[in-house]
Amino acid sequence: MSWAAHELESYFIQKHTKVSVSYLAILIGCLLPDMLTKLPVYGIKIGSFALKADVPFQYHRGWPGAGFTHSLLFGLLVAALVFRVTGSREWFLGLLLGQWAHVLTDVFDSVGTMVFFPFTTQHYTTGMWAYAAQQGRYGDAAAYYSSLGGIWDFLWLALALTGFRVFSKSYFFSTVVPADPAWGWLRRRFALSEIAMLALYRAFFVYGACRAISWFLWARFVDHAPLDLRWGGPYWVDKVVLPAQSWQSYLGNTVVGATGFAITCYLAWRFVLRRWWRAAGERRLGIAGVAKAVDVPRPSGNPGHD
Amino acid sequence: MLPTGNLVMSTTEPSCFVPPDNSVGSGLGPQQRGIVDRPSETGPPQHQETRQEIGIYVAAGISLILLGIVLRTALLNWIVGPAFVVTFVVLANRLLDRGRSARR
Repeated sequence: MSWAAHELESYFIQKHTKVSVSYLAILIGCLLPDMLTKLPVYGIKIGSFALKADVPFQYHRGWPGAGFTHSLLFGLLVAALVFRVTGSREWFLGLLLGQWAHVLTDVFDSVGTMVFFPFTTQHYTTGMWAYAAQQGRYGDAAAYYSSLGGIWDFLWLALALTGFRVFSKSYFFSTVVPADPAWGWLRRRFALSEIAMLALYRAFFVYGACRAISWFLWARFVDHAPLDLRWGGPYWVDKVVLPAQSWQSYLGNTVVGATGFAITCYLAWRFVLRRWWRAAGERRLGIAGVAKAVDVPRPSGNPGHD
Repeated sequence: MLPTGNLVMSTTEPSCFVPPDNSVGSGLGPQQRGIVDRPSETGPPQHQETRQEIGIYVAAGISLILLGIVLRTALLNWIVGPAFVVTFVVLANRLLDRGRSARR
């Protein structure tokens, strides 16, 4: 699994998405698959109540288990549900992009994700670093930040920093806020100041960057975990590896999964999403029409700001 | 720093403002929402990050890293971590502004 990458990728996606999209939705989409699944993976104990998955990787990424949260179709379903409730194109796209980014990012560890679930339970993985959630939170942190996984986080940090303009105040107020009614709601509901809104926007970048640095330093100087930057490392952890599979079976599953997913996307768009998309556009045009009707003539000689 | 919700429009940089109502995010420009430009009463808004602001974020980051090494999961989780940053920035800004006004 990726650690800080999921916070950092939200800024990168937002910067490189050419259409209007909600940053908050991207962020929630990026965090969504792990939001409720991480606690049982590592185990939680409150008094006499204890919750821990018997086989963490199976629960987290497999089926039966909560592995469906790490599939492309889950992102489509959640985004469609939110689209139906809010009617916001920006939230639909943001959730979809964020959740899909999480699914594809987690492909890089040794367990990977069931990208095309439920059409196939085939896991897709590159095995770049060891999946070690069964070692507990600290064991996993030590393994992750001693392998290429840690480098992966720093790569996302560098990518986010290449688009440093997205952290500027002017970008936030000119691009992020107008694309998302949720900022206005947050400001009114919690009486947020301009400083607090900006801090909230930047917080997940600061947190993601500091989290990667902090865990990396902890693994080096407190846990003294040996660094192993070889593919599939670190060598010293008992990592989860899926059973070997023939190429024929792999390709067959992929064809079935990709076809099923593509057909589902087409049908969802053809019979449901397209209608909602048009309705959202018409609502927006309606608002624009009303606003134009009440527009007050501008004093002559005053330059426009649109 | 402008108070939130002010519709103060700069003649040089129109982009930085927070609309006061639920028209935020409607995708409409100020004229489309029936908002007429008027001369600024409090001057143009601050678009550039000040040294104080950058310093506060750097301090928040360093605190989070150092405390994170000690506290680990208690601080470095996806709820407490970002909440720490927001709280740190807001309180530090408030303290510095208060200190500045007291000196005056």
